[in-house]
Amino acid sequence: MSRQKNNHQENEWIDWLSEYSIEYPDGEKIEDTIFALHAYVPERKKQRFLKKLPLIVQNAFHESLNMSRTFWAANLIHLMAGLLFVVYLGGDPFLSLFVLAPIPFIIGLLDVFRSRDEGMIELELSFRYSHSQVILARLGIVGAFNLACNLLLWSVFHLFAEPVLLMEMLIYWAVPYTLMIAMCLFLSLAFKSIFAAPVSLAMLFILGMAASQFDIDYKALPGPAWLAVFLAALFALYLEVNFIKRGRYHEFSR
Amino acid sequence: MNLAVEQLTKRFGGHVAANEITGEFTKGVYGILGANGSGKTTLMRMLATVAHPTSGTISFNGVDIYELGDRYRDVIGYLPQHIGLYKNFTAEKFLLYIAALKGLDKRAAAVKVDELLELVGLAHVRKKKVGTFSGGMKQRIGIAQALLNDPRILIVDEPTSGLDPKERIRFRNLLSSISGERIVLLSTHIVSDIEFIAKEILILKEGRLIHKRSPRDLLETISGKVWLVQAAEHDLHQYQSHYKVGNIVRNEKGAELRIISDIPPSPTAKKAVPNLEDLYLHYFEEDLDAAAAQV
Repeated sequence: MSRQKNNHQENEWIDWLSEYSIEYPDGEKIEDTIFALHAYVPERKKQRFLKKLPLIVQNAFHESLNMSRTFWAANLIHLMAGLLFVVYLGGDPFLSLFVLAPIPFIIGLLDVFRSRDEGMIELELSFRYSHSQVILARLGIVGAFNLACNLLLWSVFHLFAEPVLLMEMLIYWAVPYTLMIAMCLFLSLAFKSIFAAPVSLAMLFILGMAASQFDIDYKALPGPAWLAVFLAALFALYLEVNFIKRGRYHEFSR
Repeated sequence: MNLAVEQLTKRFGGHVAANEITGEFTKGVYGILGANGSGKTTLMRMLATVAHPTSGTISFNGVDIYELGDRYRDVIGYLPQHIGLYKNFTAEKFLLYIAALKGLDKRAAAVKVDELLELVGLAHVRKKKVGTFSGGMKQRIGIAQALLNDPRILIVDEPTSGLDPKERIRFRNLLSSISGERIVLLSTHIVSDIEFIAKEILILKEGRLIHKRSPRDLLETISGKVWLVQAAEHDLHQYQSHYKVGNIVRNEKGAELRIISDIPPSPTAKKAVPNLEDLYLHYFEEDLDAAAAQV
């Protein structure tokens, strides 16, 4: 009797509670709500900074795996030619770096702007990682690797050929190198890299020939003047990188 | 799931490529129909965040897509009209590279690439360089890259232009089979691409959205305006200069003409059931004339 009563009470409770039952939204609606709310979840400032750093490194690492063979070959030739000319043939290390140093960078620019020049940019602009990030990552690889090769050559020349002085490094390497890459980057931004690279290489060759043929006393120009030119070239590079960051280097930025 | 555009406008100097376009999209295939220069590509580019609108808004589930940023780009797949592929990459390497740019995890990307190469029928040429692919194969690798991130919004701009009929049918079937749980926006000027798969058709003309309706409703707008006329050979020119003639079928009595006209073009004209080609002709006849004049 008491069990029957209990069951009856239980059913009453269930009936009473069922009046308050609500229907759950379907999976898609829940997903949409989460997506909509996601936009309003604030990101921690500290986390944002930390997030950015490895992303650029990650992109650069990934892009390095996709650089063309021509780029790696240019770097290898640059190193071999420098060592052969100076260490084995006893050539002038300064002239060697004057002519050879920018070559891998100039060749590398073909890879940097490959997506724009091969019509992939429209697609890449729709991807998660912005196209400017990809371009800057590639530019980072080209620049960093080129710099590393140059430093290696400098070290070898310093130890096995001629001691390197800071002033000579500025005149024969830093100034022509930064000027040349600033000019080549400018041409690549304004036109296609396939045009910029040969023009820059031709210019470099002419300057190199002129430096080896004519006995010009570059040291006659005072140190601060060289420094000023170097800083101006660096500033031009800074402006160009900013130009890339703002995405002003392709037809879709209009 | 809802994608909405509101008063969307894009200007290039004095030229208005898209003019105050307003509309809403939910799950299903939307065909965007228009002649060359009607603003289809501009609209698609804005939806894919490739081009920024001059004014107006695009929102996904009520949030502006520029506020969403990469969270929006995570849910879209885009196939532009002219896809330039890295010719020296193999099909597999190309897809893995795109997967990385889309932010996919390496292992998940490898699985997805396998799956998509199978889906688009390119698994057997996965190690071949994409530079050696035919137009149809390039389009298929294009759709595969668009699907890598399992997008909720798929934007495909004139995907069948330049394909032969067999490839077009194959592509249409592929698109239809993957459209289930997504918003698919497909722009084209080829009517048969969307005739049987579109939930709604948007008609764009000179940058303006002039219709956004189901194919049946659109056909209703020209119901009673399509006629079949049996004409003698010497009358053909007269009919062509006075009416929009969609089709001419030669027969032993002369020719049977398919004419779009508000009034019967002849007392013997018989009403015909309209199709989307008639609709296209109805809206874009002057564009066809311009194209013919260019040829």
